[in-house]
Amino acid sequence: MKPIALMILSLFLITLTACGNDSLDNRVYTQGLGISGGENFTLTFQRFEDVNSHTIHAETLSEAMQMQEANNGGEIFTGHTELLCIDKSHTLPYVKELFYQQWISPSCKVIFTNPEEFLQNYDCTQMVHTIRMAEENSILPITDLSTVLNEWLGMGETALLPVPAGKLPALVLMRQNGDVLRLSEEAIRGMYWLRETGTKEISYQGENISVKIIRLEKQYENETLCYHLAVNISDNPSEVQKLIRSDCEKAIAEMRSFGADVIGIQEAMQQQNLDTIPEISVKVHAFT
Amino acid sequence: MSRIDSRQLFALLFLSSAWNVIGISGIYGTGQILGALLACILGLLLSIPLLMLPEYGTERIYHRKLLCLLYVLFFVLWGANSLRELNHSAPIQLLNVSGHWKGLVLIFITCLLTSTNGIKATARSAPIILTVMTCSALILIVGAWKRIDLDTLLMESNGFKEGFASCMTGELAVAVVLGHKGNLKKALIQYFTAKWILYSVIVFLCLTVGGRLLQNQPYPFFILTSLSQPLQGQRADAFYILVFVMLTILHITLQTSLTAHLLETIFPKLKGTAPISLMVMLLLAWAIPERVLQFSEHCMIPILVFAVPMGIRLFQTRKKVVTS
Repeated sequence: MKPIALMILSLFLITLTACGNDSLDNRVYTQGLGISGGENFTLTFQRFEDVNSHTIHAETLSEAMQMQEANNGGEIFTGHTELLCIDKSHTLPYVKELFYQQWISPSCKVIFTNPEEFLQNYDCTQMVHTIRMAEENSILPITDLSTVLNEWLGMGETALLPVPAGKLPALVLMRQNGDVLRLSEEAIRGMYWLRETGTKEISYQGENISVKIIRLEKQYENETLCYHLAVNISDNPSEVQKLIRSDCEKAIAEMRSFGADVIGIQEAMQQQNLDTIPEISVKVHAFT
Repeated sequence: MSRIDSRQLFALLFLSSAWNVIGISGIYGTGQILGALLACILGLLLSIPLLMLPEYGTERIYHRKLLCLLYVLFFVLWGANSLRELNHSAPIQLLNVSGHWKGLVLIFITCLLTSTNGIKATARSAPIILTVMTCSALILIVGAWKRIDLDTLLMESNGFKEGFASCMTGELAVAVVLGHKGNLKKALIQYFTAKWILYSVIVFLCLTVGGRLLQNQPYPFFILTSLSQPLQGQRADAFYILVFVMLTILHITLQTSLTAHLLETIFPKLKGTAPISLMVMLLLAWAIPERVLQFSEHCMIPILVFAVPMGIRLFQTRKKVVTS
């Protein structure tokens, strides 16, 4: 009797291990999602294994979700979304709603582009793959949803976002209100030095050089906020050290020209009880 | 009642407090960790008279109907407060895909079934749930590890009061009712240490992993779990929800089983004490305002944990002197 009871119980348990067929069919699992604020809210999405995009115009995000459900009979599930496309319009409230209420994945990549046009013409899988590879190869700093939202809600109110640009994505600085500044190639490298840890390969005079970031420390000394970057350089340390410093200075100059902060200047000011932004310098300590 | 060993007692106390810890209502600063530490030290000091009781000292509670009623009142109020908190937090804590009401009703029915099995069955299940919870805590830490950013750690005294209140909960009253000379000392020390560690780890992760995302957000632990995804292709949210539901059931079952157990001691002929207790808790949760429930719960803790064992100790010492 006992084995039969256990077998019946096991059968019951097996039925609990997956979603019901009915529910799975009636759901739209989005891989790419595009949101645009502006005067009218626009939601564009691309499903998994489907390069065609669908666009809905509505007043709010929840209304767009309801409209999609009513028109196509599928409930939108954003929990597995891999790519979120946003434009210049004020999209922060919608991004917050997606994160806090729609269970969008925090590791979802966020890009700055025209969402409707991008999702109509490009495959999300390819873009996500390109960004992931660029992050793994230390070309771009990490720019996923939780990082972007954290920066927007932080003291700097500015986030760093990738933007599609040829083979490799470029980077833009984007304020909460949608203002955008595209960074130069040197500044993109500088942002990596000032934000990440890990090993980055750079090309210097036709030679591949490996730079390992050991640590980054912020120190306030002589009315200057100094970023001390300790790096391990495989070859030609003095020249590469100068290059890194120049990249960092370029990144800081471009960022400050935009009145933005994505390297924790405001937090350092709060710690030092400073009212105005101090002079900012970079010191690179190279080891071989 | 056959006795509960120190391992089971520790698991019961810790899991019951873990429910409160993961249900913290907000993240304010590192002051929460200090507040929790003070609450744990104060709790340990309050339990000194309890630890000094001789063998079978706590069993004197069962011989005094008035004392039993006092503990029944506390467990009922505590249970009502827990049901109220569960109702508030369910829309966020339980995945709101199929509606949280279905989840609440199922939890209530499960508690009704588990509480009728008695306190011993609850105690036996506690170490198993503790193992599952430890696994989930490890998964949480592994998933969150990469996202830790020490720059967002706010070294401020904010949140001291909230940290203190989160760790000053009614589990010590459970220790008075279920404890005895053989299991108390070890279980209590383990309980306070583990509770403070769990609380500190959660606050630390919320501050360093969540950063600005968790500030001013109700029930931040559940946003933290969405940030801690150890696998790229599979979301781990369901696992944390499963653990939360297990803790909820254990927490409410513990309160209901203890109330039922004490009621059986006072009224040996009374049948269906567990369903009655749970229904009374539900009624009180609906009828009494939240602040009154919390205030009465916090006021009763020192009486039940410190004054009653102290009274028993003094009474026994006096009796010994008179006899000799």
